[in-house]
Amino acid sequence: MNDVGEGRNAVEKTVVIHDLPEEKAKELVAALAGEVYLFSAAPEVKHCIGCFACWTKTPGICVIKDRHQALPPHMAMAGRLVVVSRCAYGCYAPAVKKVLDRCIGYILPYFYVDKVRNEMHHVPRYKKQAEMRVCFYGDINADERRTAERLVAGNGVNLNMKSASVYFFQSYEDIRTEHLKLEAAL
Amino acid sequence: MRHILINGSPKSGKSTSGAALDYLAKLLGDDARQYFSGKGEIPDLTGADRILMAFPLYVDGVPGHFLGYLEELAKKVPACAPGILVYVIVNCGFYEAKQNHVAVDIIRNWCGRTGGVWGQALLIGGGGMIADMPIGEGPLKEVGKALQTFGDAIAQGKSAPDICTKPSFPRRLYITAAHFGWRLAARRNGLKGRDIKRGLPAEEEAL
Repeated sequence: MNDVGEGRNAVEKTVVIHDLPEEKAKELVAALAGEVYLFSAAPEVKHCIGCFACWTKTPGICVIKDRHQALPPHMAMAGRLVVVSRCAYGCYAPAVKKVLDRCIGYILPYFYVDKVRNEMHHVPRYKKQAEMRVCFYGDINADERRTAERLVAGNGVNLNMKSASVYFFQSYEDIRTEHLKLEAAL
Repeated sequence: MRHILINGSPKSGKSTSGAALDYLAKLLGDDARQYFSGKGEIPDLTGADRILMAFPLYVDGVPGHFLGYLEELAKKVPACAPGILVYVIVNCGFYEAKQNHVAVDIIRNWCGRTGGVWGQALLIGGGGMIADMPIGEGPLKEVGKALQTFGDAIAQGKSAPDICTKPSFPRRLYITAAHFGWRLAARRNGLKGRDIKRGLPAEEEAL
């Protein structure tokens, strides 16, 4: 877990949640503009226990005392959320999913009905919306790819993201800094 | 006939997944044995005919701890139970059962990777009402019927299209009750109802 990029001209803060080797992660974000907050999924954080205390006891932050508690204040400030993860069956890797599962304090427990989709979703906690980019890597088949695309689209809606996009790579070695930039389509 | 029932909820106590599995265990009889993923209980699949897993929707997908459990379980399927039939129940706090579809597809993909054979999925909406009420009665009458149909398919080893179900309760009232419940829970934790909406200091400083 590192803060990288302090002192640069602030554009939009980027939070990067990843399961990359530390050196690779630092290399990827070194050329990103603005402040970057790196959160590694290793060592694994404790998993969500479904207590909902992040909504009703310590609003916005998971009540489990470990290093995950440092993440929500950065997410609250972020204009960009980047997730880099090995793909497991069309989902995030378990360690990364544990990090995301404990981020539901980012939204409120209250519901609204999206009349276009005719679905319930959570009311946002913050006025600021972030753009989301997910980079999945690994041996990903066509079914898993379709599932992952739908998963990220769902995350975009349920986490109140301004946008959500996803890229796939055979290996994390193939991911370049350009893939993390949200301002320009590749 | 051996049925392996796996509870993918992280909750050790009362849960919707646990309630659904308990209901089905009674239908499936003595050959059904339950395992709790939260305790890391990996079953011996040798001689098993069917796996039934039940878990809650977490951030549009499978809970992180259960994904790790599935990766461990996947190592056992090809050698111990190739071609085992796989059934899944996913429940969510949203009213619409269809919001569980991506999580179901993740298990379908797990099935494809392990060599398991897809059986059927039961998608449950309004999961917040299930654990605290008797299944098969009142607002959960339809949920009980769906579980019965699902249990019959498992017992017969059938592959069938997904089933969606939810409590017979208006969405508007479900939302009202949920909001009341959140405020009550906050008050029990010494907060005021409005505290639920507060932002973290980081953002307050920025505004």
